[in-house]
Amino acid sequence: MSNTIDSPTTFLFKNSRVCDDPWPTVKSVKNSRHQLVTIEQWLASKEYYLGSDLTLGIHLLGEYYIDDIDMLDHLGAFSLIKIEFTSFTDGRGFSLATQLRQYGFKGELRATGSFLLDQLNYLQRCGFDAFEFDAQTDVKAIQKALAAFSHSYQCV
Amino acid sequence: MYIYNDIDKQLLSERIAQFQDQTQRFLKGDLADEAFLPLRLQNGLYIQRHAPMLRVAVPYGMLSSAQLRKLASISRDYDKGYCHITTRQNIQFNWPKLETIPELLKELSEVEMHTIQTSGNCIRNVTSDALAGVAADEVIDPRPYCELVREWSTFHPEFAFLPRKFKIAISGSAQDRSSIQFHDIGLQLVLSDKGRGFRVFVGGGLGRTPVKASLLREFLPEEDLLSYLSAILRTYNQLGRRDNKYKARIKILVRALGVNAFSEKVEAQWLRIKKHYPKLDQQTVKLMQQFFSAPSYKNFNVEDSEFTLKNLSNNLLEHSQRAFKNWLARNAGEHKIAGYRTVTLSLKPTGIPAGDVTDKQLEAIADLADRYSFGEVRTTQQQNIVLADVAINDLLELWLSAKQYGFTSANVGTLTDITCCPGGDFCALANAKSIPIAEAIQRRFDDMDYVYDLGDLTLKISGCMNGCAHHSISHIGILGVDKKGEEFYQIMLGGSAGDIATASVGKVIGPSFSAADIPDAIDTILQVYVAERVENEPFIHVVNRLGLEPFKAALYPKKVSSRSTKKAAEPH
Repeated sequence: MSNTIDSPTTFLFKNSRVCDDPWPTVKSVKNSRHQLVTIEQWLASKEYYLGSDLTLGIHLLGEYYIDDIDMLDHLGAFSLIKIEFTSFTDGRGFSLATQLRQYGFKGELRATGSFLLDQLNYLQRCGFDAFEFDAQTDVKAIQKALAAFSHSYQCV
Repeated sequence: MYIYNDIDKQLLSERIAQFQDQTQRFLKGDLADEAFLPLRLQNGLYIQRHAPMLRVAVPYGMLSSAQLRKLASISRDYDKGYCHITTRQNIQFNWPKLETIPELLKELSEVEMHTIQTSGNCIRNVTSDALAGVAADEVIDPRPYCELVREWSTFHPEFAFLPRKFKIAISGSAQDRSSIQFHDIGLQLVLSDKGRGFRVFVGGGLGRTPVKASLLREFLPEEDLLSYLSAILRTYNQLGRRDNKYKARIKILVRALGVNAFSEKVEAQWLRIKKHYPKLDQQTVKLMQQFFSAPSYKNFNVEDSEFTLKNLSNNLLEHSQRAFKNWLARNAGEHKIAGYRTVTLSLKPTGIPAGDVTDKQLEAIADLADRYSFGEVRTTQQQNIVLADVAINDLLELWLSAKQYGFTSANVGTLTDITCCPGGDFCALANAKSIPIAEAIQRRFDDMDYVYDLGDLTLKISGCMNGCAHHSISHIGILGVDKKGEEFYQIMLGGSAGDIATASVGKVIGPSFSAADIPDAIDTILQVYVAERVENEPFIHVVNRLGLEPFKAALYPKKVSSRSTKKAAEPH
């Protein structure tokens, strides 16, 4: 597991700026109505979560092959899907994000874990709209990296 | 030829700025080695044995004379006065200095060239038929589709960190001159009663596990090309192995799942996502085709042209006449337009590393292209250069000019037209040298009458099992191996690619040979062929008909005692 998950030394970058993060991590408990679950928790207690009035988020690893996971019919139940990259060279999270958007997920799609500033533009184009960074990351560098390319050859 | 629009230009300059910034951060220590590695690779930059190596993309092998002249000046100003044509139709510089690379990239961009995605675990430069648009057996010109795939794959946000590199080749002819079945995806353009479309092959490849591709789909409608490619790439990106780089190519996934199970996953994904991708409509295809429209050919009468062709060399001295005719026979090919020929400029004179070309030669090629072939050339998988549109009337003049620059070795498609990787002399991956082996073979077989008598023959030499020279799909393949620190060479026979139905991977014939013994071993193999062939039976047919046994018996006489019917060819 990446150290960014439990570390208080990260910040959230969303909608072109640094934001407060209303979400707990999968291990911490915040005193809020937001609850972030793992895929195992979701699969074990799906009915409970669907029946609750919690604001739900789910934490996925980039390497999950979601076509095999029973969550696609309930994408609307989640306000946040957090995708954790365990290694920046592992591109599976890019496909996972694109796929979730194509399957209709409209909520916050957040990248966490091991990714490079140099990958931000591509991550954004795969559908990520929020990113967790180490506290020392330079915000100007983030903005610059997000804007690396002004056009794209792909519509998707 | 495709011409950049404002968006292409903008993107290229943004990419150069991005890479310059990454290089500076790396040099300042702000970007770690392991983070810089995939970034520089995706910009074609390797760190090699002696110096960085920079690989320049030549999209589907097409170059204009202006681009050739720029490559010449870059060779002079940033390198040692030459560059190298690769077996994937690209250009490599072997000696640029790291700090000059941003400037070099800017110069390349002035002629709409770049090094993007020529390396790394991403979709590489698309390759195609060097005779696209002019081949007599062409069904559909593949180049517009190559360009569409080039654009689709360039800076693709989803597929830049794949398990491993990914190569796509597109062919539009009956004869496959692009080895599409030895690519991660091979596309064969076909015309059916449902219109234009593709036969889709997947999971072919060379390297340490040479595999012929499986047919994934008999017919994919043209309009669905990009959505279907996306479904294949996504399936591979998500399911391909990442734990072992030697098992990470799509061929291993296809083999592990079986092509049917792989196909089910692709088709299921495709049905689900295809609506999100724009279809390739007629208008888009037509617009792209206009970039590859036929040049302004002259109208020649077929009979007149044939007559001209027969009499072109009448005024030459006898030995020149002979040389010219040999050159016509080997280096000029059929063209779909009456009165024209395709001409291959051989970059394989004896003693020059295959595919190496000097600044002066690049400029000469540009001049020849301007004078005789509408200002364009193509690089080939065999590391030669093709002038695709030469009028028969001009052939003699072209030959006389090309001779001065060493381009007229009349050996195209023969034993001495050796495809060869840079090998241990340059490449950090190599187990053994390959260039000196090629030269030794060329020197040994310097009797061109003998070489012509052997007919069509491919010989390819790779310095390691990554197989950049494509030795495993060569009639005679040579592979450099390391045996306890010493360089040895394994010989394979029977590989071939040109025919979709019969393409095959060659088989290793037996224990490896020392460098010094290779010319003798090749000689022995050829003697068996000459003894066994029936009339003009090509080498590959004899190998396919007889199998390896007679060749083994001759090469390793003591080890095969049961065969006494044929006297083994003695090594010299």
